[in-house]
Amino acid sequence: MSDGEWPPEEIPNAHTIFLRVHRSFIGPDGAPTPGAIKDHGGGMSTNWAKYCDAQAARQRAKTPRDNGVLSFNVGTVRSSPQTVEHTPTADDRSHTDVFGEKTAAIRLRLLESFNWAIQLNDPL
Amino acid sequence: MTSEPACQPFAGKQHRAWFPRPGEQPKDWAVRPSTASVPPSDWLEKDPSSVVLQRKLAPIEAAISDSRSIVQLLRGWDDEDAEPISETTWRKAAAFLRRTAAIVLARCSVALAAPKISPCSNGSIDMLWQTPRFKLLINIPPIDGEHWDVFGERKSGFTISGRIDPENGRLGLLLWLLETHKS
Repeated sequence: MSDGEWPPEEIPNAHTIFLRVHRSFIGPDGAPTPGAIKDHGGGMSTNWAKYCDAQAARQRAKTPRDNGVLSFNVGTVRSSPQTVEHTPTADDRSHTDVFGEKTAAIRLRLLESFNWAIQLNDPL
Repeated sequence: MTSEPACQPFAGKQHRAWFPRPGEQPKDWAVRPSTASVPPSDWLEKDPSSVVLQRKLAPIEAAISDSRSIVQLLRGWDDEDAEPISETTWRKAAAFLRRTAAIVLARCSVALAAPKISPCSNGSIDMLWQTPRFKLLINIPPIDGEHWDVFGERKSGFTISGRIDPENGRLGLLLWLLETHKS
């Protein structure tokens, strides 16, 4: 399967994306730190719930048990404001990037709008 | 809700004794340039009430002490490609926090709540305050001379947002914090 085989789709505002959060971005109080909102390779990598559930998103981590999963409403992310684009890869049809500078303001806004899909201590 | 593009809200606020007027040299520790080598609470040592003050600043010192371990993070500490946090960056953050807490205590008689201090994957450090009165996020970058990214919001909805010059603009940030504790 070659890169780009999955066509990018428009993600509706009502949909959900998942963000993996490594344990090093979870504070002693159990809340994600602002550092969890970060770009990697140009955008913040997430997974679109249309093609992935939270458990599958967690399993994509190098060490799944060291990761929790946050869920975000796409419309809320776009209003933060950021650009949410479906960027499927050969091995991940759900891959979605959140583009836009992750300023202090954006990071705090996004941390006000997440829900835990999987907590760090939840079983695999 | 209003937003400021940069932290320079000092126009009209220069009646404050601690703030240098144009052309004046900074007069006290409040505007002393930040250095990484400032020992903890050295400014208190000549003050007869320093024991009380140090007690009030203890939560700040505890937060700084607790965050010390982030300089031991190795490259890739997030299971991806996170940069280590340098000793220099941590000391820069600690010096800023000590000085800010001291100013707020001296000017408002309020002990500044301790922030959450956490590492970022680009080698920078976040300091986050979340209190019933305000929230404030300051990002201390790993590179000297780079502006600091700041976002703050008071309960009233007033915000401060943008990048500050750590040698100048942080005074605006201090003023914002002082006003926060008065409001």
